[in-house]
Amino acid sequence: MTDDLILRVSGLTKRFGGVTAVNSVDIELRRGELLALLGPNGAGKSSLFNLIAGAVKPDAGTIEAFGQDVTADPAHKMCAQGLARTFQIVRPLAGLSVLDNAMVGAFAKTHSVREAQRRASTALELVGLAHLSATKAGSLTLGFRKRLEVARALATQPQLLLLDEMMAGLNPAELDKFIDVLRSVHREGVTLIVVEHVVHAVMQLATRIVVMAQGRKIADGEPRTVMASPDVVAAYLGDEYVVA
Amino acid sequence: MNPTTREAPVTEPDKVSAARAAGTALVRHRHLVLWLLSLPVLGLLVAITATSELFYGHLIVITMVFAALATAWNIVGGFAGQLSLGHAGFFGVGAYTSSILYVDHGISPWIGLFVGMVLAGLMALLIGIPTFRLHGPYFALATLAMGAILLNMAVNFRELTGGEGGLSIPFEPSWANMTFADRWPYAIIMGIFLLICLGVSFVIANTRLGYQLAAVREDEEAARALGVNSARVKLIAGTVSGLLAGGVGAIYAQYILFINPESVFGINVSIQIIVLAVVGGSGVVLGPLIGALILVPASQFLLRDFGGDLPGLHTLVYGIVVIVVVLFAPRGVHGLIRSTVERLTAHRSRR
Amino acid sequence: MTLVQVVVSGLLIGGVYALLASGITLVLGVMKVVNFAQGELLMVSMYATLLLNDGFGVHPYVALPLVTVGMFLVGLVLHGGLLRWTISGGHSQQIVLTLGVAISLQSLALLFLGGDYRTLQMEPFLGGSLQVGGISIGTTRLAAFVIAVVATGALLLLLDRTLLGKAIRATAMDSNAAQLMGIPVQRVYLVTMGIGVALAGTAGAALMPIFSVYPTVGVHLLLMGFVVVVLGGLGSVAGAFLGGLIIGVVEAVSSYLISASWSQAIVFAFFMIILLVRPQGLLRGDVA
Repeated sequence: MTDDLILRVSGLTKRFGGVTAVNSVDIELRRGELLALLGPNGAGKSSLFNLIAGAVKPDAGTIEAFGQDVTADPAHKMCAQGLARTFQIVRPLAGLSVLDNAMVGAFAKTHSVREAQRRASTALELVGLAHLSATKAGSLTLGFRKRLEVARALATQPQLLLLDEMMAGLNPAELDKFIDVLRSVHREGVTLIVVEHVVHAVMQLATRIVVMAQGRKIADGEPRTVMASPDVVAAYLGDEYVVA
Repeated sequence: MNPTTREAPVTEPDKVSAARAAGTALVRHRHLVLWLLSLPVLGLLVAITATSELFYGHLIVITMVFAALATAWNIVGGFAGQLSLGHAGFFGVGAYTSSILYVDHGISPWIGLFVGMVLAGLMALLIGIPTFRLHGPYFALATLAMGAILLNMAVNFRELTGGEGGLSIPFEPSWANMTFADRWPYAIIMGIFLLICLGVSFVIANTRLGYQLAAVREDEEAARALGVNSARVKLIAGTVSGLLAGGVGAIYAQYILFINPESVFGINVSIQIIVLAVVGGSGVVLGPLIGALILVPASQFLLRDFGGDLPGLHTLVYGIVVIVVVLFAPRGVHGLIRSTVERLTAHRSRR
Repeated sequence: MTLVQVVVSGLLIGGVYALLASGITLVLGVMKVVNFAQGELLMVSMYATLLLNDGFGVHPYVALPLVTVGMFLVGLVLHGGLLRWTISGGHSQQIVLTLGVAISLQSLALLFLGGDYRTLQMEPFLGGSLQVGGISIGTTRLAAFVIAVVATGALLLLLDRTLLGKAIRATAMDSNAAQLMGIPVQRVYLVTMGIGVALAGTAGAALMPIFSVYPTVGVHLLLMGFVVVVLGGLGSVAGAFLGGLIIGVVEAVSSYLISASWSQAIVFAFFMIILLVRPQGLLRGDVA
């Protein structure tokens, strides 16, 4: 594994009952990339996330991250090593304040309350949630909950960040703001994998695109090349995406 | 975020702003203030215990016992949100350990207190390893079963525990024996132990562990994704909680000088602990203390005044209060006080 | 006493455990609420049966349908007045609420009925037994078992064959989806709680001719009920029946072979092992 390779997934497979959600997928990711993971519903994107993040154990295949085999590592260990993820269906720690939510993230890398508070505030500032620090997370609107999800993940100071459909359900103004946030996170050196349905937004950002369908990887490469591929357009993205 | 603390209008008279600044300082340093107050309060309680009639002394000591138990329970039941229905088990292990060591082997209860705490903590750890894998009602039922098993063991290991008949601790008053003719020394010992329980809770709540436990309580999977080793933090909380409950058991045994399986291992003890914590406000440091301060004296007064003619009245109060609190103030009396204060300050700042 | 005799009497009492457990498991499966008051509701039913007999000379098996219907109404009140308001709260909140109800009922019983053990004085049944192939079967125990079988069968038929049963099962599977399909979920909860408590009524009336009643009689029985529920699989009525029989036999055999006082510890140890090894229980839920 070369130095700038941050993640290597090989032959990764996960079955749920009779369904093969992820079917021997190989992905290599270099430091500083912003990889967009596309594909129709049920393509296996979220399952792939859960596998990489250590929330689910694979049936076959290996995951290497940060230069070591992490296939069997549980979620909390992956987080400590520098991988953070968000959930497609946001999961705020509803009874805690926004600041406390972000602090829980920060505690992944520090034991000091003061330092956690500082990192949490920085992350909240970045996503534009600082003014709501004292609000209970459970009372936030969906747009804010999504930002909190990102802030919390950022507070863990990840090297690799997995974002699962964070743009769905945002209004255009929120969307622009969100793209700005992603851009600045990326500029700060964090490697990202984003799952998105909002293709035109992703096209502005992604350095590479992987397309999945029925658990398999069907395309991998430069955004323009992948999106121009007639197979991808016709079979998996549908007509409405062509204009983007 | 509270806008009042940030931007006080500059035009305000000095006196008002000074008063407000003092008020803000008081709020900011309220923990320090409370801790500084705790010692004189304890001194006062000990003085009352020494000078007033027996009943009031008993009231103070027994309230401290249950406040400490509920505070210990709160670390795992409140902070971590794991509803343990078997905490009498740790209380009982502490009580029986120190009593057996003292009665059968002549070992000082002070050492027994320490050994009892270690054993109770160890047991909490061993029980926690399998049971913390269970979630929601399964965990509650497993802890309930564990309590029932311990009760049955205390009944059945007769040579060790004296069976149903219980254990009587010889009355030989001295500090070395942790046995006293008066109640005030018990108020000192139990009071200090209560402060230790509160101190441990306070430290946990305000450090990394407390945040991680709260995250586990709210959403275990999300917590894990944020780097929380949920199995480990639950085990730490469970062990500390069991350890403290065991300590209360040892002191309680020396105070009552008689224990039997039902009085320390009984399911009623476990349930009473939960009721106190929930009524006061579980998940916050002072909640269980508040619950104990309200309910234990209330039931003791009822027991004294009506216990003969109207048995059951003192426990009926527990039942009804807990129903009312769950329905109308799910965050307990502490939550009620807090939201009232917030409403009042919000009202003042609007003017 | 032979082992066969012991097994038979264990089976018979297991039927009553099953009846108590099916009320708990139904409510748990449908509403996701662990009803810690079920033992006290059983205690109330036993007293009701006793008082109907003492006061009005009502035969306990005549009182049984009355108590069952009465407890159904109690269940409606319990849900409408209390539980309903915590359905959206966490399970801790619901457990604590039902604990509060349990403490209150126990205290009220002590307050108004006293702490004495009381038994039904009923001549034709006292000590009556049938002899079948060298095994003696207590008539009241046999009657309780038959009642348990009939009640469980009726409940399973209700769940399986009626529109109400379908609504209950749909709600148990996914209350949100059920709501979207136009099932009045709140009313289903209400009726479920009614049926759950009614089952405690049936069990109480069936038990009264066998056991003594006192304010804390429900505590031990409730623990047995939980053991059965977990063994049978949370939310499974058929599992509760099977579990009830198994626990009845385990309890009877272990007290015969070892000692009565150890039999409880053995039952609870058994319980812990099931929870840890196979928390889903023996059978998949009929309702969950």
